[in-house]
This record gives sequence, structure tokens and C-alpha cells, in this order.
Amino acid sequence: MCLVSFASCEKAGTELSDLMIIQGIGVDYKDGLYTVTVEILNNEQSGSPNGDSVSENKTKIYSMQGETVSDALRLLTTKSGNLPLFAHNRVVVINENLNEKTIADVLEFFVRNYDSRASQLLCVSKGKTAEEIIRAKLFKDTVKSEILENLLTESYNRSLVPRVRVIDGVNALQNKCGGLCIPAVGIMRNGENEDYELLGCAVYDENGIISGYLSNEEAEGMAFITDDFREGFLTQELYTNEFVSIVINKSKTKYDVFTENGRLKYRLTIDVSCDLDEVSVMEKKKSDPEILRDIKLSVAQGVSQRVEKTLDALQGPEGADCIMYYKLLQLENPRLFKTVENNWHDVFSSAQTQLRVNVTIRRAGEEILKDNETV
Amino acid sequence: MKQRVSANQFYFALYLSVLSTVFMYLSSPDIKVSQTDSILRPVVFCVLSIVSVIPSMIVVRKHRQLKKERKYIEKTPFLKIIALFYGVVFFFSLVKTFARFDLFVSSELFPNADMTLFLACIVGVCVALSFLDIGALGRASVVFALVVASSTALVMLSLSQELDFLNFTPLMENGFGKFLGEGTLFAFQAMEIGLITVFSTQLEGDVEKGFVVWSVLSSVTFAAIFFFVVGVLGGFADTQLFPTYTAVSLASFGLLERIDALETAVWILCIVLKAALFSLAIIKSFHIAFPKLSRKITGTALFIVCSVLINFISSDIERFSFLSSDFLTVALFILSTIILPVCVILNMRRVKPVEKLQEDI
Repeated sequence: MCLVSFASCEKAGTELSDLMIIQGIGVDYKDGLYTVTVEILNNEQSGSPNGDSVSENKTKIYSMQGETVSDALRLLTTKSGNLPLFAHNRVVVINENLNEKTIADVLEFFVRNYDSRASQLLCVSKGKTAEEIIRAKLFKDTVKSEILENLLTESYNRSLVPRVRVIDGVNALQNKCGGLCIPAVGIMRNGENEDYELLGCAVYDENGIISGYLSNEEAEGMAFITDDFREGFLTQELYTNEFVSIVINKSKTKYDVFTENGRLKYRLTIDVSCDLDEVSVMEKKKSDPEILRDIKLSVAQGVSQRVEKTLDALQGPEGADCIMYYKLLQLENPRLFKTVENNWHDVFSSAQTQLRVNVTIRRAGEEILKDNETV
Repeated sequence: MKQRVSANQFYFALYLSVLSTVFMYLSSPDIKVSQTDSILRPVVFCVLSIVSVIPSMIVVRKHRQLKKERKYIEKTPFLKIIALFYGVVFFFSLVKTFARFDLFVSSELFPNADMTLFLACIVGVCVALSFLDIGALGRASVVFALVVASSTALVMLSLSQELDFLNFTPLMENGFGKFLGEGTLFAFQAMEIGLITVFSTQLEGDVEKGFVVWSVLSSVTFAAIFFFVVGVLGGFADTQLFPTYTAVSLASFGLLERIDALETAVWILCIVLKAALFSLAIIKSFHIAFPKLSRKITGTALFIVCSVLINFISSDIERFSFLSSDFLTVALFILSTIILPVCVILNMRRVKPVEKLQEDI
């Protein structure tokens, strides 16, 4: 019974070398046609007795056009001669400019296809086409999609950008109030080669159409607001030309939604726990409880600034509710939500946020600290 | 000689059988899985199952009373008609089970494969297992239940890191009436309750207490499973044919990246057990309706008819839609748990002393 349920049996009777094991998919749309670019494992190279010593690339890249994403992907067989296997796909790159198509149109195939997994990561190509991202000339022969996946995963683990999988994309766009922030990637020159670079997030409105971008700085506050913080770093100027670097190892956000004078307000209480990484102040001050207090205050200010930047960008003209404010209201006050649901974009833009940041220094390296109070 | 089974072992078998319904739970446009109400619907199941089992429990009690009084129920034509109806009802339940399993396998495991032989094999295995009778199935269920419980717990543990509380929705958002209706429809999927009457003469031990424990335990398990489905998938659950499977496919535990393979194997175990139970009930019912038909002939006929019918349904999704329609689900549940047991009770007035017994029911 276990054998029956093994994933690879999905293509029962097909040899691995006859499969097009897809690692990354790029989707562009222009002139009424989708262009799909895939990076697939080079089975001939992987399966050869010489292993890594052969000179062939580890992956192959194919592009194909079609009326739909499915059409283009299926037509790839005519180029590669193999059957596509989507189960191992790592990342889907979507062109920032989809013309008249929405992101929901692109995701339709990945939601409906049996073989495709809901956990594939999504990203948007900024300044380049999705095909150019998949075909990037990286510094060494490697699986590019794996590098892209690592970039997105590590950026999420460092709370720089949200993690957006197919499932997250669908969830965000299902409700007519919610927007979606998808990490944006570009290509930068590195000598003769190219490297991927993170370029903040693309903001999609409730209709699945791109409405603007968040810069890397503006995207950093999202993890605090959505209570999806993993780990992060912060450097603050403590005194003039004296800096403190901290590692934020834990953050917990509590929400409160209320109305005041007919205006919707959110109260976010963010509890941050951090370790000191470097304190470049005069040695004699280091054990002083006052400096600890100043560090906490400085960290609280730093976190507040990040959150405020994100809120300003998302509540601005190019923003959308990617931080699930509508959901918080729906859970807290379903009746009120129903009254403002149809006008959510305006309500969200004018919603006020009260911020309170509590900072706890968990460890201070080799220093012994007496104070552990909350600022 | 009829096999006996302890009530506890029998309820273990029913537990696994009813679990398969949730594992292979199908999304419907009318009932949203993604709503937090899904977690509370098992409460309706618990209440409704306890109410609907009352006729079956009366049958069990009457059987025990007759045994004490050394009397047996006369095989009247009316009883044969009831048995025939039972056979037909359980046959539809069996076909429905196989059809759902076929949809799952042909969607998630072998999307491009020809299922004809595979389906025939599964039907054959289930019918063959039914010849082991209820005692053996009950004992095996205890072991299976441990495997199912431990693997499901592992999946839940690994899914806990994927939970997002913003995926939940306000409770009873669309009103209590709609919630009650959806909960009732969910409860009607538990066709297993009707099996109690069929196996009533073979059950030993505290049947009533065992049923309450079964009902509560099943409800808690359903609620836990739906908690993870809603918490992990959110609205995405409504876009998926098998939302429970989609949620499980996101689970990974250390190096074990594809726990869904393990869980799917366990689900197949539950499906096989459920089908074996229904096959046994069909064979038993037809044997009462047509005493001259041997169990082997009935079993062989069941295998052939079922295999052909499943393959016929498998080729067209509209045929499956009819089979899984709300009307059929409600009709089968009411027939097997209320109308037919009440008919059995009515027939129980026709008794004879055991000294005149020629053939047990």
C-alpha cells in the first residue's frame, strides 16, 4: 500500500530519464500568448557513470509559447521529448507585466493540476522578463531555480520579504478585499556573470493586478505586522556615531481593532526579543543600566520605523491590503466588516495604526546585565 | 457458525471506516471547508449519530432479550424484503466508497493511468477480506487503528508549524440554520451506523457505551483534522478536490519531505477496511434474502458487478456527481439507520422458541 502512494509512481512505468523534471518555471504574457520557460534537470548528465566530471550542464532550459500556461507547458514535450513532471518544481517566476492578464489567470494551472504542489514559491521578475530570470548566466553551472529558491527562503527566514507560495497567492486573492505582496527579483551584473538580487516586493491589488512596489526597506516591516517574523537584524545609531547591532530572534504581535470617532483603528503591540550583536560605544559605559535602556528604546524606534514605512507604502495610492487588516476586522468584528467590505480599499487607506513596541534584551554576549525591564 | 466480535473491536472497525470519509472528504461548492464552522460540524455529527442509532440499539437489545428467552426471529418474507433493501443500500454505499477512492487515486496518485485493472483488484481484495467475517476484521482494526492514529498524529505535529490563525473565519458567519444544515449533511455521510443492525446478533459487550465513545472519539478526530485543514489551507481548501490530502501534502518532518505518501497508505487501509465491512454486510443481507444463494456465489457476483459498475462510473465525472449527490447521501443514511431498523423491530414480534430453530438469522 505504501508503494502505491509513493509520489514518483505518479508516472508509473516511466523511467526517470524519460521525465522532464522541472525545477523552475517562468511565465510571461505578451500579444495574446503565454511564454513559458522551464529549467529542467539534465537527466542524461545526472545519470551518466562519470557523474559530475562530465562537462554538460546540470540543467537544460526550454521555452515554449501557448494560448494558456498549460498549453505552453504541454507543448514543451515536443522540444524535450520527455513528459513533464511538475511535482519537484521549486519556484514560479511571473513577469511583472502580464498585460491584460491577472496573476489569478497564471495561478489557475498550478492550482488545478494534480501534479503541481501548493508549496511552490512565487516571485515576480522586476526589470526583466521571467524568461531572462530563468535563463540568467549565474557564476557557475548549477540549478538556477535552486539558487532562486534559496534566495527567497533565506530572505523569508530573515524576515525581509514574505514567503508566498501558490497557496498563499490563492488565499490572498480569494477575498475581494485582500492584496498580495510577492517578492520581486532582478538580475545584477557580477563581473562577467550575473547574480539574482532581491528587489523588494510587487504589490498586487484585490483584482490581482500589479499596483506598485515595496522597496526592500519598505518590505521589512511586513513580518512584524503579519506576525510572521522569523529572525532579523537591526542596526541603530545609539548616540552620535555610536551604533548598536542586534539580532531579533523573536517577535510576537498582538492585535486590537476598534473604531474611534467613526474611524477604524488598529492597535498593534509588538513584543520583540533580541540579542546584542555589537555595541560600538565607549567601553566604560557598557555595564551602565542606562545604556541598556537606551538600546531598548533605540530598537523600539527602529522596529516602529520599519512598520511605519511598510504601512505608509501599503496605505498609499499604489498600495493594497497585503497585511490582512480586513481579516483582522472580519475576525474581531464581523458585523462592522460586512458594512465596510464593499468599500474596503478606501477604508484600509484611511485606517489608523497605533503602535507599541516592547523590547526585551535576551542575551548581551559576554556582558552581565542587571536590567531586563520593558521599555 | 457465526463469528462473534466484541463491541470495542467492532467500533474500532467503524472508527477507521468513518475516518476514511474525512480523509477523502470532497469539497463541494455549497459547503465551504475553509470556514471555521467545519471544526464544529462534527458536533452535529455526534448528536445526530447518537439520536439516529436508537433504532439499531433497540434491535441489539431485543436480540439479547430473545436470546435470554431462548427465542429466535422467524424468517418471514417481510424480513427477506428488509434484508434485500439492506443489501441494496449497502451496495450503493460500497459503490460510492469505491467511486470516491477511484477519484482520489486517479486524481492524486495515477492521473494518467488506466484504472480498470487496479479498481478490479481493489474490489477483489475487499470482497475476499469480507470472507474473513466480522471477528477477524474487528481484531485487525485494533492494530490498524494504532497505525492510523500514530501516523495522523505525526502529520498533525508537522503541520502545526504551518498553522496560520488568520486562515480562520468568524463562527457561524452565515447563520445557525445554515451551519446546522451543513453539519447534518456532513453527519449523513456516516453510513456505518446502519451496520450495527446487520451485525447486531454478533456483537458482544456494552454496545451502547461503546457507540457513545465511538461517536465522541470520531467527532473529536474530525474536528482535529478540520482544524488543521482550515488552519493550514484557509480559503485554498475550497479550491481543492481533496482538501485533507492537500493539507497533508504540505507536511514534512525533518528528512521526511513527503509524509503524504505514508498517510495515503494509511488512508487506503481505512478504505479497504470500510469496503470489506460493507461487502460483508451485503453478502450477509443477500444471504438472508436468498438463503439458497451461497456466500461464495454472492461474493463473486458482488465482485463482478461492483468492478464493472465502478469502471463505468470512473470514466465520467457526471456519473460520480450523481452518486455523491446530497439526495442519495440523505436517502441512504435515513434508510439504513432509521427506516430499515424500525422495520426489523416491527418484524421482531414474529418469534419462535429456539427448539424450532432450523437456521439462525
